[in-house]
Amino acid sequence: MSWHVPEATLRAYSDGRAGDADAWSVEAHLVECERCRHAVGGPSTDAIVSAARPAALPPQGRVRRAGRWRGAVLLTASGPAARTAWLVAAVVVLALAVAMDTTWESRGFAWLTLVAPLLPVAGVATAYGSGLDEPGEIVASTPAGGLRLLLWRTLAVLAVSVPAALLAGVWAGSPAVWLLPALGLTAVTLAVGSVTGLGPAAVAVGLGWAAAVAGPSVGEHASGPLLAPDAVTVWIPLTLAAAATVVLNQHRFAHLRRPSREA
Amino acid sequence: MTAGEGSDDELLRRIGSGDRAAFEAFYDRNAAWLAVRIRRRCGDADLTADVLQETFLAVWRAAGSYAGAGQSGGWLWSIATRRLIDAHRRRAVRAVVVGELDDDRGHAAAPSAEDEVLAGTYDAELATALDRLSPELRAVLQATVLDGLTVRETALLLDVPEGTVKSRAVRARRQLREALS
Amino acid sequence: MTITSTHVDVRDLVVRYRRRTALNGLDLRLGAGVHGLLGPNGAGKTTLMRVLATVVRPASGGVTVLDGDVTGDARLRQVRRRLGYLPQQFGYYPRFTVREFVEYFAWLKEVPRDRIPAAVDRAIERAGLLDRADERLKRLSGGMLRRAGIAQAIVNDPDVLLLDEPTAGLDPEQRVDFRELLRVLGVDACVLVSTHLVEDVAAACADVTLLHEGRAVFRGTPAELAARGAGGDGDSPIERGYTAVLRAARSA
Ligand SMILES: [Zn+2]
Repeated sequence: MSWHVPEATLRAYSDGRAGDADAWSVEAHLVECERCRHAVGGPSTDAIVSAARPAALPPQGRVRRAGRWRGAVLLTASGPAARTAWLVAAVVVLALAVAMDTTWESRGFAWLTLVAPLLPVAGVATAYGSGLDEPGEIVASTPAGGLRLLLWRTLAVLAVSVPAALLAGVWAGSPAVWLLPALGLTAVTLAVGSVTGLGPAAVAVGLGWAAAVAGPSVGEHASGPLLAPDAVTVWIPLTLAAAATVVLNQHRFAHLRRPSREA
Repeated sequence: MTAGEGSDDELLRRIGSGDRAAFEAFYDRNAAWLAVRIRRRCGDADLTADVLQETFLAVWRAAGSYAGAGQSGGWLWSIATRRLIDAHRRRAVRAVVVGELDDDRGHAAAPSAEDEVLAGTYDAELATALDRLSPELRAVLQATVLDGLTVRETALLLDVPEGTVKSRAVRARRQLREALS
Repeated sequence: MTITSTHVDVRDLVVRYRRRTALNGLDLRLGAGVHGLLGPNGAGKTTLMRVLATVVRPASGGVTVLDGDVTGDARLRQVRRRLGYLPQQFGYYPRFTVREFVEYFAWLKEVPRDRIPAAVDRAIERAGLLDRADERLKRLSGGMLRRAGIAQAIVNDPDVLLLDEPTAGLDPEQRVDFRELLRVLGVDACVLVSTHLVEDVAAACADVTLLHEGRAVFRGTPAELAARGAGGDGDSPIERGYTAVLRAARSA
C-alpha cells in the first residue's frame, strides 16, 4: 500500500480531535492497513486499553470455519444418511437381499433389484418432517428449512445408498439394472410427497415398485418391463416430470404438515 | 504488510490454535485503534472499555473461524460493532429503569469541531462532500456505510426511529451523489 | 428508546385443527418491546405462536409480520430470515453439540456466511451457555437444553422473537438472568413470550395479552391486569387479576 494516513492526522484522530470527514477517511483506511492501525493510540487511549485487557482467558472451544461446504455438512449431518440406525438398516437389508439372491439363484428373481432402489426412497421418507430427532417446528420456521434442506438430505441419502447397493451388486454378481429406477423412484417419492407428505408417498411408491418387479417375476419373466434396457424411455421422462412437479410444488414443503400437538 | 511472519493474519492463526502470547501481541497492536473507533461511537470511556474487552474475548474464542487473508481489520470491527450495539441495548434498558431516557440523546455525537479539518486532507472531494452534510445525515451514513450497521442497529446507536434512519440515509446518499458529481 | 413500528399485525385470525377451533377472530398488534401472552391451556397461545412463526397457516384472517403477509408465499423467505422461534417442545439431534445446533440454525436462517461463527458465539454467550458450548445435546439438562433453544432463536438477531414457555425447566437464578436478557432483546425487537407463569410476565413484560378460547380478553400493562384483581384468586395481585379477568370472560 503506497498511501498512508499523515502523522498529524493520525495523532488528531487518536486524541479524538479529528473532524467527521477526516475520521471517515482514516477509519476506512485503518480497516485495510495494518501499519496505520498499529500506529493509532496515545495518552488518551492508554487507560482504556489497559483497563480492558482480559485478565484471564477462558477455554476456547471448538469453533469451526464457515467454509463453503460447512452449511451442507450441517444440513446433511442432521439427516438420515448420517444416522447410524438408518445406515445399519440399509446395510442389513442389502446383505439380506444379496444372501437371498445367492441362495435362490435359480428362481431368477433378484431381491437386490427389488430392494436397492427402495433404500433411497426409505431415506427420503425420513429425511424431513418425520419427527425423528427433529426440531421440525423450528426448521419449518426458517427460510432454508423447506425444499432446500430436503434436497440436500436426499442427495446425501443417494450418495450413501447407491454406492452401497452397487458394491452389494458387484459382490453378488448381479447387474445394476436398478440404477435408473432408484433415481426415478426417489424423484417420484418427492413429487408425490409434496402433495401427500413423504411418509405415505414412500409407502405407495414402495408397494408400487414391489408389484411391478415381483408381479412379472411370478409369471416366468426374470425381470419386469420396467427393468428392460428400453425402459430408459419410461424412466427418464418420469424422473423429469417428477422433478418438475417438485419444483412447482416447492411451497408445499414450506409449512409444517401436521403440528405435533394441539394447544 | 498483510501476510507473513508477525502479521495480524498470522497472529490470528496462532490465536486460533490457543497461543496466548499471540493473543497478547494482537491485543497490543489492535486495542488502541479499536478503542478510538468505539469511543467515537459512544463517547463514554467506561462503555468503550467494556465493549473492547468483550470484543477481544470474542476474538480469543472465535479466532479459529477466521479464514480471511488481510481482512483482519474488517473482521475485528464487525465483531466490535455487534458488541457495541449490545452495550447500547443494555444502556437503553438501564435508562428506562431509572427514567433518564431523554437525557440519553446525543451520546453518539462525534466531536463537533468542524474547523478541525487538518492540513493534508486526502480524498478531498469526499471530505468536502461529507462536511457539507448535516451532522444527522452524516451520522446515519457513517453508521450504515462505514460501520456496516443495519437500519435497526443504526436506529439504536443514534437513538432515532428506524423510519427516520431510512429517510435520512436516502437523503444523505442523494446529497452526497450531487456533491460528488 | 422509542422505536415505533408495527412488527406484528393480526386481524380476525381464525385457525382450526380438524374440528376444533383454536383461534377464533383474534386481533393483535405488537411493536418493539417484550409482550406477555397469558391464558389457560387450550386458549390458543401455542397456535398463535405457530402462526406468527409461519409454521401453520391460518384458516382465515390477515397476518402481517415485519410488513410481509405471511398467509401467502411471496414474502415468506424474507420474513423468516428475521424471525426467531422457540417452540414449547422441540426435538434435537442428540449428537450435535450446542455450538453445532446453533450453527445449524444460523445456516438455515441464511445468516451471511462470514458472520456465522461470531454470531453463533455471541448467541451462545447471551444465552449463558458458553461453558457448555461443545457439550453434546444429549448430555444437557432440561434447563440447559432450553437455553440452547434460546440461543438458536436469537442467532440471527431476529426482529420478531417468539418464545413459547421459555422459562420451563430454568431454575430461579437462570430465570432472573433470562428476564434480563428479555429486557435487552426487547429494546429493539418485538418479543412475544407465552407463559403460564404469571410472575414472569410481571417481571419482564411491558404489556400483557390474555387469551381465552381463541380470543384476546385483556390487553394492558401488568399493573392494569393487577388492578382487575378484585374477586380473583391467587397469591399475588397480578395472579388475582388474571383469574378475575378469566372468570369474567367465562361467564360472559
Ligand atoms: Zn496505512
